[in-house]
Amino acid sequence: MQATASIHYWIAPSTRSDEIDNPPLPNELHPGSQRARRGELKLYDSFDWRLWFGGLALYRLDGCYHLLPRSGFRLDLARPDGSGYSRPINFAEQFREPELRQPVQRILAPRALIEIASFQCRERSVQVRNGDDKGVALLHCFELSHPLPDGRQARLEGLWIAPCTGYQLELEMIEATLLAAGWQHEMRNPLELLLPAAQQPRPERTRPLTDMVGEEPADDLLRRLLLAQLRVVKEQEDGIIKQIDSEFLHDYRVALRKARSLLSLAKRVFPAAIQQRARHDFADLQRQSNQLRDLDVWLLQREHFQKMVPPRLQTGFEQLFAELQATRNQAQRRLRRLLVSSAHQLRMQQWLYDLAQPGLWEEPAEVKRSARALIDRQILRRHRQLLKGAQRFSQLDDEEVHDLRIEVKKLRYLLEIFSYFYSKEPCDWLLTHLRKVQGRLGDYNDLQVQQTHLQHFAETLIVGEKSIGEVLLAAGAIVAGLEREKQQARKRIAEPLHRLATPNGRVQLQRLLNEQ
Amino acid sequence: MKVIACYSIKGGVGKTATAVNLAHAAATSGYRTLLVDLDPQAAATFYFRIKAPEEKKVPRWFRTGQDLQQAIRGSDYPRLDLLPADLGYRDSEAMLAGMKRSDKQLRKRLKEVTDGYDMVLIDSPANIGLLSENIFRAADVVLVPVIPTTLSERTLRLLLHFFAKQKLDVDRLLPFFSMVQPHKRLHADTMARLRAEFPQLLQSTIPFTVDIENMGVLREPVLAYAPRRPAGEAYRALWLELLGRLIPRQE
Repeated sequence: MQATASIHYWIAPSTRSDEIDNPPLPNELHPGSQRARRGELKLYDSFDWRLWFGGLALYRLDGCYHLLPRSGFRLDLARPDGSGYSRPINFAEQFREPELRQPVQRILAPRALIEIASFQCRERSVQVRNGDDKGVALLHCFELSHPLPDGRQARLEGLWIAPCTGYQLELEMIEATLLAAGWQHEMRNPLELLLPAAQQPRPERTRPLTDMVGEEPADDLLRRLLLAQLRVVKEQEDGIIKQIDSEFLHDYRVALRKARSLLSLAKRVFPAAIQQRARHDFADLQRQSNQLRDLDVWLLQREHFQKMVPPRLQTGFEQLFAELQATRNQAQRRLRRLLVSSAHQLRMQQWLYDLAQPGLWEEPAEVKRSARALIDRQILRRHRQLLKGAQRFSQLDDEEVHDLRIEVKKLRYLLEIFSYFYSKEPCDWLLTHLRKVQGRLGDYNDLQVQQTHLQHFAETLIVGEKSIGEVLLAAGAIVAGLEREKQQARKRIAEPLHRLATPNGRVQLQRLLNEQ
Repeated sequence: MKVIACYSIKGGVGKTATAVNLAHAAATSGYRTLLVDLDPQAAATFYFRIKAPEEKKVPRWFRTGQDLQQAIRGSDYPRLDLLPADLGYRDSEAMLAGMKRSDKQLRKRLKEVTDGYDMVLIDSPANIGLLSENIFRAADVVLVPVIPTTLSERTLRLLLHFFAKQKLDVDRLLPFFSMVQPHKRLHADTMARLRAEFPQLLQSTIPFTVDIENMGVLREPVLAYAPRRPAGEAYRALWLELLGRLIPRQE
């Protein structure tokens, strides 16, 4: 990766398209040799922008990838390009150049690279010469643009100056001339300035509604919220089918879980037949993706599990994971078949259509009850379940811990979805603690599922003609390691769970429900 | 960091053209390069269109490293900077003579200003004395252009004798033939005889061409304006051969 000092950009004053063709220069200096090129610049990152927020920008121009510090991003015609790639890179390990592969792999692995924005890019480098015809600086001019939905262009013209060593006076003269001509000094990366306009429409993790009112009829609000979640579900499907990243499946399942959580509010709001159909369909979709998600979690934690297995059993470990990978691929194919099937497409279209039509369904009695009252009641109910679980936590078996996790998750999703209705302070307090508890319950549950899954897997293991002894021993080592981790994970749940059950926790809930 | 000096007791043998073109080749190969122009004639400085500073403002070798740092100028080529020469260098011999460890002052000063450079090329003045000795002690290799004529041959022998007398490492001397006109019998005979006598002579030879003379008119390295012409190809070959000597291939 190229190390760069912080760069000062200069942004052109007008929206004319020829500013960078004739940048203003002091009378004592004149333009020398010039080079130009244009192309499409694409910015790549993981779905959650790990590179960008980690301070890096990875972009592709003319088939070549460049990784630069985000703050020191520079378009530079003089920079030697790396070797070209005819097709976009999906995973860091596909980079041939170690200077690209290593840092990207360190930050992203095992996440996939996806295109997050694209710009039309025009570059022009202009050498600035003095009276002796000696170059004193290089102006790197650029124009970035992106078409807007309304047909206009989001455009940015600017330049950055690469001064020649020993010509500080000339640099100051150029900067003064730019200032006098109305150019603006800017420290931010030009991509960052244009990014809001150029960002790819990407699958959203959540789609909060910002126009909720507590007095809105419950059926309308619930319908709108379910529609938003199902759209998120639909948007993840392409990523799952193309196997871009396991995170698409994760987001798919989170949105489904939220939709199912919302259905708990639907009693006496939606007609019974609709409720039943929704429960069935959403649960079915979740169930059909269970195995793939479980196996993804396994494979994502491969290195962690490998450490649990002693060196002499590593061969068995490799065989075990080869089997897991094969089973995962089968599960992926199964889910893919479901998602591309016309039956599934019809089912999703039907839901998206139905939920988009107000008043389509026959209304039960409570349908016009205000949403806020309904949600308050559900929150209170879920909180009561949580308190019961907290009181008996030390005696809960694994099944009951799982049920408690579902209750906590439902309460958390309700508060997250409807936080718009509530006072910020108690809502934030409850959400902070609920997230912590749910995270720890999730860790515990993952360990439990992995243990059960591995035991089941080992029982049904067929490794062709090879001896399965080493595989079973490796599996046994992992099960033992998981058991140790489970004990520790359980201890970690108690503290945040009991904080929710303290008098202060109850006060926060009262404040939440009473304050408008 | 490697320090390469271009040196000859005799003038007009192609020292400056070699230093300028090798500096360009080094920078083009990706090395951060500093060309140090120690010749008061400031020809290398002129070739890069850099104005030699006025004498009274010029930090001399014997001032601080910070002064020298401020005197460095970027060239028109990426990764290539130049420390310009000035007439003040004509007093170097006298000034060095009055200093302690007078044969190692250049090495000390270079260390202060060359941090961040991979290659340093020195264009030396044509003489032999304290400044030359400083150059020999600072350089990893000393490139010696030799015109295949009697006088040039004589200066090479003188230089070898000086190295032996001063107990300097003779292996660091890398002579090569410069301004070669192969159709001349004297050149052909001299080259054959010296190659037999001095196995350390580099294989690359620089031809006598108008392209090299044009450097003064165009004020650019040959490698910048005629890289595919015989002179450009010759300097490129010399650079690659030199690189092979400086950075031996890993087995």
